[in-house]
Amino acid sequence: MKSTFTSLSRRDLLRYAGIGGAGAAIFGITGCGPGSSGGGGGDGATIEIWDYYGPPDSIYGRALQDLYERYMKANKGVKVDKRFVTFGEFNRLLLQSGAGGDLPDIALVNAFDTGKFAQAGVARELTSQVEDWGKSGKYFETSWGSTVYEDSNYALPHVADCYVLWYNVDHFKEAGFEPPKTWKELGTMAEQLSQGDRIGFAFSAVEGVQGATAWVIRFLAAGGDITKVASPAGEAALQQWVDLVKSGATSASVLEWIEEDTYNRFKAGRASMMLQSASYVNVLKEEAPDLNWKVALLPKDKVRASFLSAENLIITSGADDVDASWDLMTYMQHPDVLKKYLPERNKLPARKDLAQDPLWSEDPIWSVFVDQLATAWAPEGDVAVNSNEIFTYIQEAIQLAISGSASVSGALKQTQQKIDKLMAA
Amino acid sequence: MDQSATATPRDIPERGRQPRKPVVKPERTRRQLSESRLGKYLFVLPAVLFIGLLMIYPLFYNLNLSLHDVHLSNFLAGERPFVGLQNYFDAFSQPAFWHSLWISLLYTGGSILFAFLIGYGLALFFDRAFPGSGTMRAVLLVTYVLPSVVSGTVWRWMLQGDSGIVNALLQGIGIIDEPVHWLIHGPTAMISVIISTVWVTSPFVMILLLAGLQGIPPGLYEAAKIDGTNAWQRFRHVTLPMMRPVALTVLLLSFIFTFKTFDNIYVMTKGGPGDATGIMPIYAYDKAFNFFEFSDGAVASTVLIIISIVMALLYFWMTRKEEAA
Repeated sequence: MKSTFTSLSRRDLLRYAGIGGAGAAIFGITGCGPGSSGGGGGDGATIEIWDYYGPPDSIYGRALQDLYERYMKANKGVKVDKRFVTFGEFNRLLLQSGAGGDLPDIALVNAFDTGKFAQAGVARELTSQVEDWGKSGKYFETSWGSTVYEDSNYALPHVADCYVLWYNVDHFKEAGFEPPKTWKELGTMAEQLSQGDRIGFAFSAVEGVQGATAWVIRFLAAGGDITKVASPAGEAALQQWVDLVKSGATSASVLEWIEEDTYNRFKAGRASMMLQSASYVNVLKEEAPDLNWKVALLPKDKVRASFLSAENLIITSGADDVDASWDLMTYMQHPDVLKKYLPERNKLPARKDLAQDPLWSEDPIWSVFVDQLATAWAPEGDVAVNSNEIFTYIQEAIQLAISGSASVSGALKQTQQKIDKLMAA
Repeated sequence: MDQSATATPRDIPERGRQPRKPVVKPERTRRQLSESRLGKYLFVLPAVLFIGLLMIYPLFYNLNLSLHDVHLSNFLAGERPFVGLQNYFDAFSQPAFWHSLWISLLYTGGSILFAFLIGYGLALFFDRAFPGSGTMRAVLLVTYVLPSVVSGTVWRWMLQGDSGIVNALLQGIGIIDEPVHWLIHGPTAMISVIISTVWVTSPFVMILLLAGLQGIPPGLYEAAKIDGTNAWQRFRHVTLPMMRPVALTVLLLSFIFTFKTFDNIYVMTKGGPGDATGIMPIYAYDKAFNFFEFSDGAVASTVLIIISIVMALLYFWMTRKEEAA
């Protein structure tokens, strides 16, 4: 396909000037527009792409649909067919479609699952395209690492996100607190901030993978290795979770709360702090305009740690038009495109260079996320492939310890045995 | 209907059409008979295709999967080594497999017991005509027609430790002092999912049992009254024996429906806390679609299917026995 992209402003200018042919020539010379891979996206191509963000009329689905429409506008004759599949069903349906020989061209997958889909043969290897593209060095190491499986590339990062500490400024002012610098301080402050039906610190520890995230952050801060949870770091992290519940700094209901529940609690002023990703920044501004809140870097223990929450784009092994799919994926990573898309999507760029743009680096909220992103961890290699099991086992330990069904060390020991067995298989 | 298919040779001359070709006529009759049969089979074909494609094929696919070594890395590759019953032996050696079966039986048994008792009580209640009984029955059935995802979500909200209405109610009337975190402790979580299931299924039980109650000839009660029996004796010696076939049918159907429950528990607890409510369908789902151990998931599914088929066969056997009686 011939290059048809240019920067957004230039494209608009050219369109309004009505000199499309000349514009293409100018673009060919400058070669600095969004996603100008010079590859596929030929006329008449239809690119089917699956995501779990939401239908086109939802907040996040709309942002993605708008992005596709901008691409289609710039690439006449190319149709991008968005299909929404719920998060809970996404992996299953993608695998089933693979078995049935009916894969979409592109799938927007949880970054941690990239290795799984590479192993399953659902994701197509993209090493040569990535090398020709030559932009891998521009990405945060953790984000880029999530696209690699057994030293080969199988994806491009789509967006990045990470967890930070959200706090209620009014509650902190009343108590005379500043955001905690250490996890120990956080525990003390959370206990003092708890009063009535208000808790000091909200996080999710719900059944399944999501419920392990907060604890993994605490565990990594204590210097933990995810394959060795029965360790001093594991004991420190799990003991703090138990102590937070026992002291009333948080509620045992954390075992029932999904992340949305913690958000709702924070929004209602019934939690002074919460551990949360950037997904709710714009939503909170809209839904609780009077709430006085800020975000801060997560506290340290031995190190400062966070957790990468991200999506990658894979081209599937059943893609009809690989070049067209690659063209769309690289378009979606162009800085100008991302500057328009990411604020609507409440996400951060996975590109380091773009993260330094004033849009993020000078914003009091987003700059915290950008700083925290540098400390974000994501499972890689065998851990990534087995991450669902590992996180599920970790959540079981959290549940056992918080509910009092097992001691901290006993719960960790059980989980360690399961992880050892899994990793040895 | 094609009458010629049932025509006898004696009938044919009476029609006066081809009396001199008795040899040809039977041939044509056979052809017509064959065409007629084909036509009938064509009418049945859509149903056969439907059952074959949507029921038999998935069952066969699942069974086939359970006899091969299929995991993430060879799921799409096509190289699936045949391992015979090895996957079954492996599964049967896993404590988690037997735990899920035990949890399934516990959950099913508990749910059926209470659904049956409540359903029976409601059926006896509605067996007596009173103003508004029809409306009340219809209202009760709302729980049964609600999608289980909806009812599971509602129960999850109601049972939340901090903000659930159940705790607020129990605290309000002084039964508990502190909120109970129903869904985070194994025993209370199991009780919770059983309650939500009973809430959904007892109206269904009630409708079936009510039909059975209304089928008991009133003359039996009148005869029993003449014999000087009291209400309890009539219930004990007339209602219970007469309801036994219906009750057994209801119990069997309830077992089949409850044993394969998935969505209600998945929405409420995802099988947790830990694996306290991890019934076998959830175990199979996790194995296949969370951990991508497809063969292990298929083994669990096959065991579920076999148990359900055994119960279904028992149901058919009992139905026939009842009809024969």
